[in-house]
Amino acid sequence: MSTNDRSEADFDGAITMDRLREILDAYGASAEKWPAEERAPMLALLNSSARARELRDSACDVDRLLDTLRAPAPSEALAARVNAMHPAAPRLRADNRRSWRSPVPRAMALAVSVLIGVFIGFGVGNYDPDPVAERQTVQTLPAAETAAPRTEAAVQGPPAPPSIAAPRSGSSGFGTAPLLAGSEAPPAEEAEAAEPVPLI
Amino acid sequence: MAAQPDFWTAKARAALQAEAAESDDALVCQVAAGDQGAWRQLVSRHLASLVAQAWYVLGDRAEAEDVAQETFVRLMQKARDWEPGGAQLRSWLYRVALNLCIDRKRSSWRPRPLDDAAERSDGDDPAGRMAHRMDLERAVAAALDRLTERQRTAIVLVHYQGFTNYEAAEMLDTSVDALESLLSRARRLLRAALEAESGDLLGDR
Repeated sequence: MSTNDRSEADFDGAITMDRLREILDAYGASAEKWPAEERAPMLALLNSSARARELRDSACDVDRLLDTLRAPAPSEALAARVNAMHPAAPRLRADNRRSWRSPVPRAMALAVSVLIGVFIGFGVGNYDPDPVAERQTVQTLPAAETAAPRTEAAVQGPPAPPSIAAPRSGSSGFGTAPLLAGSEAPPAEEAEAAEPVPLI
Repeated sequence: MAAQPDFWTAKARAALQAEAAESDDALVCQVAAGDQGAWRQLVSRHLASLVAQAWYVLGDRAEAEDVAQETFVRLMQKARDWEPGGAQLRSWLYRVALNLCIDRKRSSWRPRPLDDAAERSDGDDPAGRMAHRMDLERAVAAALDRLTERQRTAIVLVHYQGFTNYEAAEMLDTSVDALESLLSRARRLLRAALEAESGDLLGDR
């Protein structure tokens, strides 16, 4: 039977020596630690029985041993830290934290990050990382073509590195092709003539 | 989701404060309204006991203070949603602290350091008695550390913290009978572990 439902009604004012021993074994000799509803009968039995008092004295030993261990007091620094926690407007702080838990600001932050990433991506795609390669391309062209106006080579832009397919008209990617699309694209023959000769 | 404390109307709060101006519940109400004085009163009431409880369980002063501080952080977060007349604040605080202790104990247990005992020794104790006392403290601390987690917690709640059998059983999520069993076994083990020392060291009583 669980004794969580114990109440004073369970006791008729008397207590057995066995129960007294159980209580002393569990709670020790200090009356204020005993179950409240059994305290009075415990004290009555202790008053009337030498054997009960022997049992209580025995329980006292363990209490005394436990009492030798005394916890330290809180340091002044801890008390100052905890006292300094300001309870004012806890709702405001909680709301601030909660607002970042909602998906809307998180989604906005993600969208801004993606946009920044896309702009940076375009910038890197148009960046000429190796001007030497451009010079080499121009040098390998036939003499007639090298005599062509510099502007053609400039319009064509640098060749892509060997590991990256050179963007062609209609192809996708972040190379030079998108810049030549539409009305700004040169006639087909011009574009073919201006196509860079691959490096060997 | 926890309901917002709309029921904390000004009227209810005033009635509560009138009925039990000094109760923990009333102080938490005031803390929820931003009352620094009420906060200090709660700290004054419970900080030392929380540190003590954590120290008895963990055996480390720095960790015990961390636990006590974290418990007050939790209280501050809970204050707005606190329901007066529900769980007793004291039980709630000690349960939170107990759980924090258990988490720490499981993550990084190490033997109880004893420098705290040296710090607390009475300055006017004769050297011999002080040495005996420190020996005894070491022995008791070691014996407590050898108990199971639940046995040690039962001893801390009932013997050191003075919780009633019902309160301690509830905090341990068990019955009063089971609590008594834990306590009896723990005290028997402590007696057996300390029998050699206790005859000598308690002989001066």
